[in-house]
Amino acid sequence: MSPNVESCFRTHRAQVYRWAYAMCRRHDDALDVVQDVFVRMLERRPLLPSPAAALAWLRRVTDRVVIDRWRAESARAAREARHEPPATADDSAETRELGDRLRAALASLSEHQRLVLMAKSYDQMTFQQIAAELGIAVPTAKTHYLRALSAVRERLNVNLQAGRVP
Amino acid sequence: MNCETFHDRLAEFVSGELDSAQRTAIQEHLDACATCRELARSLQAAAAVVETGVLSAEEAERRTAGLTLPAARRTQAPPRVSPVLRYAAAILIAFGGGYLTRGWRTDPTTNTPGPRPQPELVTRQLLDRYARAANEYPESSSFSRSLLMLAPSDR
Repeated sequence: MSPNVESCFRTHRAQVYRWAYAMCRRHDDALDVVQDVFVRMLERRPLLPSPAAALAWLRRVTDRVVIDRWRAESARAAREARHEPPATADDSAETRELGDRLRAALASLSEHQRLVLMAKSYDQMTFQQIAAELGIAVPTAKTHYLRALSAVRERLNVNLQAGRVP
Repeated sequence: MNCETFHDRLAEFVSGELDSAQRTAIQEHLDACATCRELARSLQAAAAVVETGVLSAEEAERRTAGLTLPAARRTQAPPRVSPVLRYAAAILIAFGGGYLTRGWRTDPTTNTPGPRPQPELVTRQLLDRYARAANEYPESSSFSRSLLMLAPSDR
């Protein structure tokens, strides 16, 4: 294993897990995503000159791995008519339902919309930082964020009073 | 503040990126405008739902403490071909293709075969066309430029 990837794995595996868990809401899926992300890093050996570049690469690849897994699951579920992943200790029915609806909302977004939402909601980056990382204009980053939230609001039918999903 | 100004600041307001003075100004507008108030509340609620699954760094660290990369899934990186070799291959292919398709072209007016092309001239012409493609399409890849180099042209 490249020492670079090994140290990157040690440093960032928890961060990648945070992103994956926030998207999937399932512990086992998030662990699988972490492993897939770092396997891709081993396979592709990307040039990552700085910690910021490494985080940007990892965030983008985490997003792709999660989306790829969702697509594969959807295809499998369509073949098997009904696919129910095994529940784990922290996967209550409510969590699973919320996770499924959030997943549908996130899957409906463009890649940039999802990446902006991840950077903003999961890492509290500023729009300036997000725009610089993605190579887009700051107003574009804001538009992506608002469109992503609008999609989540519509998919989850967010209750305005309680701030909860029904 | 009016609705238009509010919309300009909406993303920062929802994500909590504004300072207290800016937030106060927006709050005053929201107190007076029901439409903007409803929009802001619904987006803040959506943002809160997105953030419900975000774990603390400590919790994420705890959950991944024993995680290791599976050795069985590790694979070797594909060998990288140097750019020089790729250009050389493109020129070789282009030269071969150009030589085969352009050599001994029959002159339709006299119905006699044309002169045999000189390999060094063909190569020079192809390199010129490659450079022209690079100038005209600076964002293009080397593969695209090679295609443009091989494309029929009267220039």
